[in-house]
Amino acid sequence: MTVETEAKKGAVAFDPNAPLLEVEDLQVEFRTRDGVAKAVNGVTFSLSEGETLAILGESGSGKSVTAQAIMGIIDSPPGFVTGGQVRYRGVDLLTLPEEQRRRIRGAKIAMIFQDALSALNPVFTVGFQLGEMYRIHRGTSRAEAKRRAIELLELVKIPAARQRVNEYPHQFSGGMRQRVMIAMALALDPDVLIADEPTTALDVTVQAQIMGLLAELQRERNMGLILITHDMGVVADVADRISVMYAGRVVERAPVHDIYASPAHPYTKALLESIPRVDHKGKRLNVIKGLPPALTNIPPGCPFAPRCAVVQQRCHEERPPLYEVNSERGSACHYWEEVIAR
Amino acid sequence: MGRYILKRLLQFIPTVIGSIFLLHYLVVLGIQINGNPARAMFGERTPTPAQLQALAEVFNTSDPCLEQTGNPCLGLFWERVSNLVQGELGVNFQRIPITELISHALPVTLRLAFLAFVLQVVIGLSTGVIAGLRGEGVVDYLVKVSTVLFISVPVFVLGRLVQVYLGVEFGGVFRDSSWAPDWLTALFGVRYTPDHPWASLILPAVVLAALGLATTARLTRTSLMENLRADYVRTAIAKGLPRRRVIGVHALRNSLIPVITDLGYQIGVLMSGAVVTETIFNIPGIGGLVINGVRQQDASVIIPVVTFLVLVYLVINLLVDLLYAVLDPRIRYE
Repeated sequence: MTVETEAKKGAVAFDPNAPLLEVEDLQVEFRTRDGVAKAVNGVTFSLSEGETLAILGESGSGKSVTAQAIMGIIDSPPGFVTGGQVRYRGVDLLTLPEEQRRRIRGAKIAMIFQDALSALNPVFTVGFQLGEMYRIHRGTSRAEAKRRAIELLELVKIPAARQRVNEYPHQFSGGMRQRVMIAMALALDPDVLIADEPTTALDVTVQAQIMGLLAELQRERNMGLILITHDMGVVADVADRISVMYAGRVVERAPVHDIYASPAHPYTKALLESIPRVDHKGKRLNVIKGLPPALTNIPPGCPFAPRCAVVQQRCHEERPPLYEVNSERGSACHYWEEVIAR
Repeated sequence: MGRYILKRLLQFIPTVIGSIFLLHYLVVLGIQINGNPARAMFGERTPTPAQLQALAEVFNTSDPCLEQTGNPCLGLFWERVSNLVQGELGVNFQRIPITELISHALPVTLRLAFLAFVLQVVIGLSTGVIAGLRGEGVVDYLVKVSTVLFISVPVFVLGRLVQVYLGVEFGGVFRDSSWAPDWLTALFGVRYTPDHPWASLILPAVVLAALGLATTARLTRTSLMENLRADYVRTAIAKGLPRRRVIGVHALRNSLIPVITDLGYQIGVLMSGAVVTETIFNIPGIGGLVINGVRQQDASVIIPVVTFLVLVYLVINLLVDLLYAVLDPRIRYE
């Protein structure tokens, strides 16, 4: 397929002046035998060029599902996007036919996954898997695709790229594999990069290298980066803004420095207090007691109420909206003023 | 890689000698317990010791160790091995050279096994893929039911059923009609007809393929379903690849690794399964040769032919192991 035909068929009217990515009131549910699990319940955020948004939350908070909904790769069934909008340059991706969405995937919005070993196909060479991006999206020849694959490996600083392009994923170390994943995501110069726990499976020293590489490439290309993580330490270094998710909702959003200085939601506060600290050595580590609610049966009030340190009767009955703390911040706590003051 | 192949080929030698010895000992024991097969040639008449001795001489069953139950007759064994090594296969009781017997029987069995294999690959793979993609549908249900059915019904029962209902009853319609072409009559015939070497082997091939076909379909289905949920398939979708490429290239390539391995071993199963199928449909192949040899206790037929089957099986196993390394780059032999 030639470049022209791909471009013609994928003729979606993007508005270059519209915001890069806006997610509004996104709802995702999984219809399982055990009932309907409401994984994402009205998530709203936006992302602009060159910005890094961290989505923070523990396992099952809906952060990965949110990312998959943006990419349009939710396993359906059982997963269904039941409401909301995902606007890329003003166009709601959720209303586009599958063929047009496919052309956006990888080309405009790309994604990096957590475990690079299982995320790469074990039976194809790294070069084949990188080259596929050009061959399928751009219709380049095999030889040209391989040349580009070598360039990509050099871009992510893999030594001896010319030889390694012919190797298989299992011949790479964990950090190198994640570099390959990054290279694959950057192949077509996307505007939005979603990194779903990109460093969780890696050693701490390698984590820092990978995050550094991501930040560097983002700066060079002025991409919007959505960083999904449960690691508060990673966030502090690279993120501009943070959205904290709990039980499928954004419970707090704020610029990164504000959130560390004065969290406005008891969950965020508890998360920060549960980070092990050198100056607390010998003392018992603060943990958040209890478990997040089952997504098939989310309680009517504030979902965090059963675990909350400052819970009131009202919290069990009335679900808090995302209150506006100031123009840049929001908190889904009825008593955010008290939390932020403490 | 070359060293690995050489090592495997060297391992063939003890395996082949071991299986020849096993065959030899079973035949010797049979003669020691049942009496010299030369006696059977005289029917109701009682031969004089001189007559018996003369015929036993011809049959190569005159060695006195054949009178001592339990004696492994090693002298006879080494004689046989050295003859086989020199490529002298000898003659059967009817004085027909074994090479001639094999050269007539082998093409028939190969045709039968080939037909069965094609059926197994084409139908087994395609139904398996459909069942794996749809999941929980009609095809999926059919695959599951047919697997259980074909595993639980033995080949000789299935063979007889096909022979009676499709061959005798249904085929009778064509045999009695004036309009039906010969090949159609042969296709639904009760037995092998040399004039239609392919058409008359199709029904036996279906019977022969039935079990392997069902397992192939089921293996493909399970393997594909598993791989469709794999992380790298999600990556392939996230790369913006079209669905047919995600499935046809990324998921299928991985799903076929266990299936192709299994298909390799199935060729060996087909060769041995042919013995039963050939007997039912009266097909003059390798299987018929072995059965007749066993009936007459003719070691000069049994040993070379079964050794040949053992060699076929060993070579196929080696090829499957090598193919496995080609399909899955994570497997490397030294």
